[in-house]
Amino acid sequence: MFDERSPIYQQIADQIKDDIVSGALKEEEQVMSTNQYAAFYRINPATAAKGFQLLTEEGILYKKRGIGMFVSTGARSTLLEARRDRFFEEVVDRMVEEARRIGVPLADILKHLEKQREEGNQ
Amino acid sequence: MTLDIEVKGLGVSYGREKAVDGVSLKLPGGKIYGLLGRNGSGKTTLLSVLASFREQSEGEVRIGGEAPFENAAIVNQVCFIQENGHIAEGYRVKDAVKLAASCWPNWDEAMAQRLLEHYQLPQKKRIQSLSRGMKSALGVAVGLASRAPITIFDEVYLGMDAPSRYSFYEELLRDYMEHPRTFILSTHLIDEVSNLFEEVIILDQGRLLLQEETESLRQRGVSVTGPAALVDEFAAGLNILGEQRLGGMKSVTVYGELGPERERQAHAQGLELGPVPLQDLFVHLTKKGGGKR
Amino acid sequence: MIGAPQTKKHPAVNVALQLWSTHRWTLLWYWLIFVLAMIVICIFMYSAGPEKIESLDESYWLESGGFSPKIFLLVIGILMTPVSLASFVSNGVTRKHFVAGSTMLMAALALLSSLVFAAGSLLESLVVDWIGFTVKMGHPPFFRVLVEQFFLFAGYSGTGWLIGSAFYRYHWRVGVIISVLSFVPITIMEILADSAGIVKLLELSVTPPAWNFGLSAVLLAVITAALVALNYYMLRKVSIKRKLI
Repeated sequence: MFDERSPIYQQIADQIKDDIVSGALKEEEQVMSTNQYAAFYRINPATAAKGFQLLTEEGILYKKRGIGMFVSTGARSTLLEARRDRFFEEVVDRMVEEARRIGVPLADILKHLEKQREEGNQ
Repeated sequence: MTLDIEVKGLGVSYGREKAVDGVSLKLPGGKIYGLLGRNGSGKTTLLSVLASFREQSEGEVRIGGEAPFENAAIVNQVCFIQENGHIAEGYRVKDAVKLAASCWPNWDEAMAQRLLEHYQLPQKKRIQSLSRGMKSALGVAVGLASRAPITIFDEVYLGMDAPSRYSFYEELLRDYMEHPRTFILSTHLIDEVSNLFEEVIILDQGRLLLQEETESLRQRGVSVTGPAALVDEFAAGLNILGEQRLGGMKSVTVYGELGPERERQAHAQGLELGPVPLQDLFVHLTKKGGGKR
Repeated sequence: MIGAPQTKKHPAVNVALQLWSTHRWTLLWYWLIFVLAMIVICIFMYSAGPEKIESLDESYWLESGGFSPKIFLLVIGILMTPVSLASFVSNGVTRKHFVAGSTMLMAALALLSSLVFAAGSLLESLVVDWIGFTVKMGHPPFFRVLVEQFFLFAGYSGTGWLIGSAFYRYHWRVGVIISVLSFVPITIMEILADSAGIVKLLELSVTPPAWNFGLSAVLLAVITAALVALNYYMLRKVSIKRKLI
């Protein structure tokens, strides 16, 4: 379920973010409680709570006292924006780095992208 | 209600041998703790003192602010379950449960019965004729149903098969959330349970090696992989727990957070930084000759 | 000290009751078999003996019947600590409350046993009178038999308990020494009560002091209390061992 790559609470936050981006979790929808989350993934509830805390600090989730955690309005667009910002750094730059390492000319990549765009237009 | 545990300069000797030596700990109530250590590291001895199974030779123990040994108000708040159990072999399962029910102030009979059924423990069987896994399951049932504010499992679940162990983790977690209290689980098999722990305590040769939140401990270990010369240069002065070589490549396990500066340096030099699983970190930390902070 | 309802009994009383529930059937069966055996032996001796007996030198019940229950209670005492201490301490009971509860149990076992025993002796004298034997020694009064036997039975279980605790607490060599020494107080008790038992067994010829019964009873009580105190002294700080039995 969780890998060892990063802290579990970070992974929990990332999963919830993914769900919001993909639309599996709608804005103003209630999120599973810390305890439900902990029971489901067999993790310490304090760890789950830390993940949720991370998301409230970022304004992705908010707390309704006595009811639970909800997805904030505008959370999806905030997340999309953040991902777009990181897109070139995290995806494109790394791709270019890898291409150089294994000797794929940038021209080939551009050609490949052109082809995809044409296919997409059809 | 939860009880805090405080241990100061604890020492326990068996004759001339020191099983626990100068251990100081603070365990605030209401958390799940993992007590890790190799065989003979003093885990069971430390836990025996917390449960008043034995008195310490040196130092102080406070549970809920009071000395626990022979303190009737404290000992019935601390339930210590060991793998082989302490109930006379001639007792039947139901006698053992009846005895426990009569002793623990917060006993939950419904839960005890549910767990006995769940683990298919025959009520009329005598303890001596139970398999290792069944004895463990009985211990687990008694430990959870005791609802003791401090409940300690000393490697009990090791005798159980995988499905029983997983159901134990689930039951423990569920009951912990419904009735918050302190759990201490000792183990040397970490992978399965580490996600349950809020804090980890590692003992090594009778001494406290570290006490840390599980999540931050996870981030403490970094593996650095790359050409041997570069790795050596990079790792000089760092706390190296272990190293491996494969041809001209080398991988070292470093303890302690690197910080953004060093991380950037590593990336610039083309070194690969990777995570270290908790189990590996534990193995490195408690390896003979290694593991100085 | 906790919010949940605490309707539990006092821990020492609980220890006594739990021990009672495991010992009552043993006790019942023992006395049932013992009484039956004694009756069979008496009938056999009377009807099938080589010579027809017409008079008894002393009470058969008191002279021969006293030994077996003492051994029975000794064994129960020996097993007490090794079998039960860890069960209770691991269930959150202090050693002190275990000692208190065990003492209550042993007192109860000694009391019940001495009641049965004294009643048996009374019954014997009635039967002997009815058959028309002449008993030369005569029977001591019921109450005196009851009190003396109570302390003797308590003394034997206390002695056994001491032996079991010694082996639990110390190295076996120390256990052996304490086992031997532990027969000193019980021998004194036997002499005080002028009882058939270890004194006869060792063929000691000791004349019981010609004190009045009250003084003997007090001394018996003091020695019994000392046995309990010694047990507590040995167990109050003992470490719980890995399972022994």
